[in-house]
Order: sequence, then structure tokens, then C-alpha cells
Amino acid sequence: MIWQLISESYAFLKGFLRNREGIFWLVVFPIVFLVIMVMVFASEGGVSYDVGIVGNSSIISEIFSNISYINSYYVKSEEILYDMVRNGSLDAGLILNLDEEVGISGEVKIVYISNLTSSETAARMVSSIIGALEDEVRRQAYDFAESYVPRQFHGFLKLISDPIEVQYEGITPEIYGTPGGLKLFYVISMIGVQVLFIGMFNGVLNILEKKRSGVLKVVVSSPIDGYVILMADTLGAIVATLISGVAILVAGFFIGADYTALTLDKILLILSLTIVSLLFMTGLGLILSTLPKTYEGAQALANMVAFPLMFVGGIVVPEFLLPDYIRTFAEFFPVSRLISTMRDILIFNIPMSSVYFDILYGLSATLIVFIIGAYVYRRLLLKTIEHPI
Amino acid sequence: MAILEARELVKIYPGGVKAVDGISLVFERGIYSIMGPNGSGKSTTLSMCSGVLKPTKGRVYVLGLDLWGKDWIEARRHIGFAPQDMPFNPKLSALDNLIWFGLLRNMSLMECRTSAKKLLMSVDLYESRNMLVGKLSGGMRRRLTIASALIHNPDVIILDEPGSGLDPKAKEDLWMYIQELVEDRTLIFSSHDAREVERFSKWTYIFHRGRVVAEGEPRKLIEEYVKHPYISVWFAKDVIPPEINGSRPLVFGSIAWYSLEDVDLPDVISYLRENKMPFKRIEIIEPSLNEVFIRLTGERLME
Repeated sequence: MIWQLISESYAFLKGFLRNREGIFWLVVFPIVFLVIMVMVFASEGGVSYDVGIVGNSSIISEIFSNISYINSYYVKSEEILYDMVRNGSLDAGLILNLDEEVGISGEVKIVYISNLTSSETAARMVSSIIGALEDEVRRQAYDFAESYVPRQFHGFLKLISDPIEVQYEGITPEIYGTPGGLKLFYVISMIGVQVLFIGMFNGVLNILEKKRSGVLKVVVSSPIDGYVILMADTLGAIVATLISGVAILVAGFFIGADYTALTLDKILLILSLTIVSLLFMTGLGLILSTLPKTYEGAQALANMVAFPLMFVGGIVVPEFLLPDYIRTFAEFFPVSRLISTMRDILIFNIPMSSVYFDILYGLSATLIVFIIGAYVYRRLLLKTIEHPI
Repeated sequence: MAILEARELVKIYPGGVKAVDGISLVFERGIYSIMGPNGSGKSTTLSMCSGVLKPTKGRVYVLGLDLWGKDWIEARRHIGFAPQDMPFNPKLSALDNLIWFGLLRNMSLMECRTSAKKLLMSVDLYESRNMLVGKLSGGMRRRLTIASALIHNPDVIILDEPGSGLDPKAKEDLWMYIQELVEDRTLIFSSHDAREVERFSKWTYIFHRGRVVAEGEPRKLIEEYVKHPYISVWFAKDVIPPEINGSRPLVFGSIAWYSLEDVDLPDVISYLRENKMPFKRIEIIEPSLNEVFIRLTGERLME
């Protein structure tokens, strides 16, 4: 049986370098997609906002010029400012009416487009900057007044100027907060995408592909059980996925993904989780293979299932960006859980003991789905022998 | 014990089409043929005998093993099947395709390589072993198909229309390779070419509409059903072939056969001219399985 099991892997590897279509989908496409995703979502520059300012303030100018994520522009009039915010040329606007003779005091108005996330975000950033400036002004006023006010009144002075001193300490995982970490996030995303498509296509198109190429007769006339044929095909798909995965990992290295947390045991775990995910998708594809009657119909079905899963499964889009009702699906979908586990281990450095349940969940679901899929496959194969499609 | 035996095979396709209706066949060592026109059930029968298509009823035994029963895996080890459409993995070379076939039969990689190279040499494809299958000519692909059926050294080789689509020279060459490779195995092939069947098979089953209408050694069948040459006249449409000098013809549509024992060619020609009976063609036909088929079924065996 061992040689029968490797038959499909042999055929795949031998034909791989001659198969331009295979090389494109397994190697070229995922690398190109990865580069595009990284350029769009994980570029070094990060996101910045354009803020227009009406009115003069040397302090405000100096503050904003030192903030990398805000591009400030001086605008001649309030009317022009409103127009520019309305038409989207600016994310938010700041109207200053300040007196800088003694410290800084006066009025500030922040203009933004309500219900537009980017504009509201820009407005909040500006607001927090102004708020921080206010706090600093009060502290300076307190320091100045402290020397003139009797000691017994210092408490009241503090109550007026700075009643609650708030300190912020942002804690982010070492890798995720960096561009390299984000790129690693998308490297894993791309591996997930390949798992979705290779598994689904391998499952849905298995028998129809053999029928289309005419080799189905050769296979069923061979002394080989249907389950062994399936295992051979699945092993071939695993080989294809591993080739694609290695290509993606290598590409990730060149685009600057942070692999510092990548140890040998983690690599082996990632490979294992990739294989388990592939088996789940193959099983799901096998179950769905009863639906299409033609090869073209099967291709359409495979694409129709795999493509949306890239997004709603939290594979390409981070889960925290998904709406609640979709995030619930991602939390239950086994492949999403397994991909998240890979990210937890590699990017967030979550200890293994914390992900045992997720791995167990993914393994159990895969076992059930693959066994059902294998049963469905064998029935379909027997039906093909009785009544050729 | 027969090498391969098919008992009361029936195949009914969806829609109620009965392609094979109670066929029983026995094959020993040697070259056997199944002859019949398109749609007579030849390919269906061979598919059932090779494990590709499950019979609706009936059984197939290979060296006593039930091909569709609990011994089905062991039974398939003894069969090498080469379908008519020559299926190969288009992304692989000739050599790699044969190796893949061998791996499917659980041969080790080393055994596959050795056997494949030997077979490619036998069918004169060794020089083209690294060519992609898609780049091989029709004749070369057909030879490769034969080799693929032999990769695991089976006892029974089943070829579905091996000469189909080949010109006479290529067909002749192909049969040269087949006869060398068969050795003392059992070879079963299907064909609608009467000459091919007469030349190469020691026993033939004649199929018509899913049934066996005759079986035997080709020469003996000819002697039994078409004892002597005939004068074949192709009449124009709507002409009823007449009796000529007391010789009543065998009529098949607009074709009439006059026995040369009863009448000779000049008689026929002069009768037809005197009576102004239009005809398209007149020829003397030597007895062949083609004529046997016409005698048995009233239809022509398409060539």
C-alpha cells in the first residue's frame, strides 16, 4: 500500500516543474498576493491623517510637526476648512482662537465628518493632543503658582489644575506592534489562504478531475481501495501545500517578516497545524463534491466557498476588525481557530499550554469532517463505477 | 479453470438502456477478440471484465477470483487494462506515466523504473521516454497504452479497440509489438475491424445489440456462415433486388448478394443491363467475418 500512497505525490512532484499553471497558483500567486497585502496593510509608514489648521499658534505648530501620524496644513479661512473637510481633502480641521501671551489659553474647535471612521479617528487624535496640551499647561501653571501660594493651599491648587493625573502605559507584544510582526501576520494569512483553496479544490474536484483527464478508469481498474486512493490524493495535496507554504515563508523573509520567534519546534507545530487545516478543508470539499455534476460547476463551487472564507474566517482580515456576528463564525470555524493558533504562537508568543484547547478543537473537528468526507468520497466513487457520470 | 470467465453479464444504464444482455464469455491463454459495431456492448463488456464498470447482474472471475466480490483487489492484480481513449497524466513524460501506473499497482519505485524502461524498449519508445505524453504521435501513444497495461506483468491484458484511429501501417506495426509482448498471456481485444479480428485472434465473440450472436475460430465461422464468395450488387434506392437465373439473393437493405455457386458475374451484369436496373456498384466479395456479421444480423459491420 505504501507505494500506492505515494503515487499521487510522485506524479505531482514529477509534473510540477512542467506545470506552469501549478507553479503560478502554488508559488507565484501567493507571493504576489502577500506582497500586495503587506504593501497595503503593513507598510512601514503606517496610517497618517491630514488635519487643516485655521489660526496661528507656535505651540500647536511645534506639537503637530513632531507627530508623525498627523500631517498638518495651514488653511486661510474657516470657510475653506469646512469645505476641505466636507469633500474629504482633510480628515479633520482645527480652528484656533488662542492667546499665547501668558502660557496658552482660549478656544479650540475641532471639525470632522460624523459617522465617518477615519474622520472621527482623526478628530479624536487631535482632541487627545489638545487635551494633553491642556494638562501640560495646567501643570506648568501649578508649578508657577506653587511658589506664590501658601503650602496649606497647594492641595486645592492641585485640585484645580490637575486633580487626577493619568498615566498611560501601552503594552503591546514585542512583535505585533512592529512592521515585521504585521508582515508575519500576513505571511500566516497567506498560508491560510492556500490551505483554503488547495483543500477545497482537492476535495470538490477529486473525482471529476480524474474523470476529465480520463485516468479514472486506470485508477478504478487498479488493485487499490477507494480510501487508499483518497489518502494518496490527500498526501499529494499536502505536498503541494508544503511547497506553497515554504515559498510563502521564504518570500516573507525577503519582505521583512519578523522570524525571531521561529524555533524548530514551532516550525514543526506550524507545519502540523497547516496539515490539519488542509485535511479539514479537504474533508469539507469531499462532502460538497456530491453537489456539482460538471467539472466547471465543481470549480465554481470550490471558489464560491473558499473565497469568502478568506474574509469571514478571519484569515486575511484580522478577527478584531470583523463585525460581531461574523467574528462568531470565525471563532467556531476550525481552520480560523487553527490559523489564529499559529499567530498566537509565532506573533504573540502565547505559551503552548494556552492553545491546547484550540488545537484539540481543530483536530477533533477535522477528524469528524474528514471521516464523513472520506465516506462520501467512497460512495461517490462506487457510484461512478456503477453508473459513469 | 478459465483464466477469465464472465457469467451472465448484464449492464443497464440509467434511463433503462440495456447495453449488455446476459453475456457469458470464457477466455483461456491466447488472443481473443470481441467483434461488433459501435454500440454493440463491446466496450461495456470489457469495462466490466477489467473492473472499471460494475455489472448490473452477473459475475466476472479472474483465475477463480471474483472481480466484483471480496477478492476484488487480488483479482485486479492479474488484469492490465488499456482503454480506447489512452488516458495519461498530461503533465508527465512517457516514462513517468508508466511509473505512476506501476505505483498504483503497489510496485516499488525501483521495480516500476526497471519494468517501465524494459517495456519502452520493447515498444520502441525508449528514445522518447522523457517526452511529454501530449507530444507523442497517435501511434506512439497507442504503443504506450499497450505498455501501460503490461507494467505489472498481468496474466490478462484487455485492450479496447487498440487499432482505432491508426492508419493501416501503424496498425500493422502496433500488432507486431502486441504479439511480441503477449507471449503466453491472455489477450482480449475489441474491434469493429473484421480483418484485424481474423488475422490476430484465435477465437472471437461476435456482439450485436448487447448479445453474443456467434463465437468460434474466425476461419470456422466464415466457413460455417459464408461458405463461398458472393457477387455483391449495390442497387439504387427503391430497387427491389431480383432473382437472377433462379438465384435468390440475400438482401441487406439496398445490397444484394448472389451466390457464385448459382450464378456468375457476366450473367448478373447482362441481366441488370437488359432489364435496365440501375446499380451503383458490383463486386465479388471473398468471405470474411464482415459477411458473417451481415449474415447473422442483417446489418453491416462498420469499418
